[in-house]
Amino acid sequence: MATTRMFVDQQLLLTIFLVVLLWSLYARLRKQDFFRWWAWAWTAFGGYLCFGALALYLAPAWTILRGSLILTALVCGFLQIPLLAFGASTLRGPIKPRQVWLRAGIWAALVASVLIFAAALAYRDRPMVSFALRTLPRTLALTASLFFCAWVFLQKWHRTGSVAAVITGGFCSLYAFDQMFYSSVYLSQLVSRVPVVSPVLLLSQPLFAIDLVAECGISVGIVLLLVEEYQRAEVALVKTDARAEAVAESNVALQAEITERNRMEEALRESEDRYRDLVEHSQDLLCTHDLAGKLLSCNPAPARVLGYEVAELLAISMRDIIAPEYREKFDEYLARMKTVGADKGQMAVITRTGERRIWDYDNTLRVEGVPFPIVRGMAHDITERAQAERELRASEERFRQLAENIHEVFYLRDVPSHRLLYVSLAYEQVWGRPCQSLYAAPESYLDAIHPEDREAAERSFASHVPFVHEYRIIRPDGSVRWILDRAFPVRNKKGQVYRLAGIAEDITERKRAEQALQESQATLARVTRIAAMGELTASIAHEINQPLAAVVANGSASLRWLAIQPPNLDEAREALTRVVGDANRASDVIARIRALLKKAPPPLEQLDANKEIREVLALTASELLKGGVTVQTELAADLPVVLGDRVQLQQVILNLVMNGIDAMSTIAGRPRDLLIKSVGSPEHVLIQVQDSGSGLDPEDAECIFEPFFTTKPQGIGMGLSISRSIVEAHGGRLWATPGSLHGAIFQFTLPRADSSHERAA
Amino acid sequence: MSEPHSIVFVIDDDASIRDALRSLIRSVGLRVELFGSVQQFLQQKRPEVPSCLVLDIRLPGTGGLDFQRQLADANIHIPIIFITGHGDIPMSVRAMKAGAVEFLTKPFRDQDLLDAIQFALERDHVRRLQEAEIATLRERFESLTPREREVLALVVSGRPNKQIAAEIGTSETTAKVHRGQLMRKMGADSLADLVRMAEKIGIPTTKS
Repeated sequence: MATTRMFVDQQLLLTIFLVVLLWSLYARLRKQDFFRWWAWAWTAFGGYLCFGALALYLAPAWTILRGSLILTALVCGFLQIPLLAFGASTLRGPIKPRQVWLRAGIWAALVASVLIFAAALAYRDRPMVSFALRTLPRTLALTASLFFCAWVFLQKWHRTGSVAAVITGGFCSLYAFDQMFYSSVYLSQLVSRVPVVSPVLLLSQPLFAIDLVAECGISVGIVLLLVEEYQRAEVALVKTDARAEAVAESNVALQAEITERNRMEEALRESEDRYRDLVEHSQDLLCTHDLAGKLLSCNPAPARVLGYEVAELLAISMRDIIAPEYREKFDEYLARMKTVGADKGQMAVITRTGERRIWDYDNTLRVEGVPFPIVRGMAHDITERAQAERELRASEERFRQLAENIHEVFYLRDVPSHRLLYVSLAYEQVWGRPCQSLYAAPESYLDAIHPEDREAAERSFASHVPFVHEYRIIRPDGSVRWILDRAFPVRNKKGQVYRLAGIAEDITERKRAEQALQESQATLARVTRIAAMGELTASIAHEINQPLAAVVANGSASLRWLAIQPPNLDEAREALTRVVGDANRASDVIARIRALLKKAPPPLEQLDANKEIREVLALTASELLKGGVTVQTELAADLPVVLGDRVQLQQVILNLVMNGIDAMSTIAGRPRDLLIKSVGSPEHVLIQVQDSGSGLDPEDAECIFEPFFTTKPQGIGMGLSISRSIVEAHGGRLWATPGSLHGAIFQFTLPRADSSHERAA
Repeated sequence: MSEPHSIVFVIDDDASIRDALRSLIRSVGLRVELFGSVQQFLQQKRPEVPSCLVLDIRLPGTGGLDFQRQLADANIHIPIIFITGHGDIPMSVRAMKAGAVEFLTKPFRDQDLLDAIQFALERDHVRRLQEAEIATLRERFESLTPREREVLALVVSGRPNKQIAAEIGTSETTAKVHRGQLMRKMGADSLADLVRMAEKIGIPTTKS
């Protein structure tokens, strides 16, 4: 018993040393979980020994005190086992996941100690068995725990080559074997009830020595572990110091560098801000894209124009926004970018709303400083400009087509300089001269005009008033063309004539057609007259033929009646009587026709001769123009009213005017003037038509009023004859006299409506 | 020289012409009937004797040329001699084409008119004889039984008896009997006579 006490005491002392050592180490190295948990483990062991010793010294017999002490000792002893194992396991890695095992171990220890206490209490009458029962489970568990600890330490040695670990592990093994030996002793005690090894041996000095050696070894190992930890920390500290110094040195440089960099960054940021602002607010397209036609960046304004967000635009292929007919061109553009590295031109794009926009681009390729080639794209929207250009071109084209395809010659002249500003292409066709020659020599315009018409044309051109003028031109091949020139002056803001615009039309064909028409009209008139005569004749013939046929038939019949043997005189007489009647009837017909053809008196109304003259002039305006005749009128303002047939009176004036035009048609070298006068007198109204034509042969002066007398190739010679009979029917007179210089004067009188002048029936 | 019962109809609106023509036509011993208008002529019942019509082209109401066409449309085949105050060529061509006998312009020679009348009456006489003959033949044809008519059509189209028998589905003897019967009824002396008769009443005489 003394040996046991001594052993317990020694072990208690050693354990206390270990506990103090471990706790002090833990206090130094708060972070080292291993030391904490092992401190707790050995504290528990100390408690076990402590309470065991107390039970041994204070209560050798089973009392409540002894029971309590033994139970407490058992709890402490069993708690050591999981704490040891847990402490060792902290060396293998983080403890968090293992804490659940610690909790389970503690619970197991508590349960085991209560159960074992119960067993030991049951066998309290047999102290050896009771002791073995309460010690064996602990020693077995401790053996296992120590083997685990030894394995962990040997692993650490294997991992780090730590000598302390191998020492601790070794002594743990030794301690485990020691405990295994104890276990076998207690087991044999329980199984055979006779101890295999005598208690003497059990308590012999060598076993204690092994115990002590093992515990001391463990202690040394722990200390060594601590030393190793210290050394490692020391090395780390030295290294840190050296680094800190280096850092301090470099800090100074760094500080300077940072300052410089901040400055640069600031500058860069400002510059970048400027550029970004420029790009962001540019209305032009500024973009980058790769050689596959994928947009990499793009500024917002053109994206807005396209109807996309920038992000959306970057997500779709550029090809999709290119107008379909430009896609092939776009592919060619990409190919050119790849080979040439730069390209410019125009491209049409389609916005999201389907609108077409035209962009003028000028792009270059960036190869250096980028992982893959990037196209720098700049494009300017020229849709409106292109549209305007197109419209202008179309307008010009329209005008050009109009001017060049119309057969009329358009021209525009500058008045002060007489320069020709424009002449349409038709000039070459009509004049038979190149336009260029006219541009070079604008005066050649007049040269081409027929000498007879030139003077008048020149006057018209110089007149600065709108004019319509007909003249002939002579083409280089000698052929003559009729031209109708309609010109109008163009005035500037001050009202000065500065340009002359005109249209010259080739009316040769029209002239020819007019002439042909006149001829055919004359022919038609003759034919109509003949037809009318034929009609009249037929009518008269029918009227006469009826009685004539009856006369012939009755005559024949009477001859036949007389020829019969014997002659039938009665029938013959009757027939002859009818012959007389029919012949009389034929005579009546002729008398009736004569009566029918007698002139009926014209219906009379009050007329203003001036008004009739003006109307006739209006009717003959085109004839006058064609004949190049200038008309002057001297109409008396207070002309008395005359009585007459309007149509017939107009017919007379018309005849005289037409005669005048015809008389002047062959005149050259002097103006073709027609003067119409009206004069009132108390008796009558006198109307004069004076021409400047070829004049009147005095011998013809009366002949001209005879029917069928004519000096004109197309005339039938009825005009003046009819006119005279009309005038005479109105109670007036028509006569002709030669003009003072040249030409002739035709004049007629009409009685005033208020005069009592007798009219011819 | 002409049938004593022939009649010349004159339509002219001019009474003096009518009177002159009556005297002239009567002087050669022909019967004359005068009408002032087409309507008067149409109202008058005309005897079935050879006759002709002296027609003025210019008539009130219906003109002479139109009346000519009306008569043709009404199947009245009276020969027409046109007289006119002022004939022109197209008008005369039209009249002659439409079957007029003569186209005389007033005043005409009396002999021309009388010759034309004579010619027209002859033509009408012949036409009437022909029409009478056709009427007789039609009457005879009507008296045939349907079977005999059938055989007649085959006979005149030149079929031998054997073929006729085959076509109407009887024996040759029966066909011969029918043939004899119809020859007798039609009063035909020979096949050629029968064919001529058939042509006159419009039975096809060629093989169809």
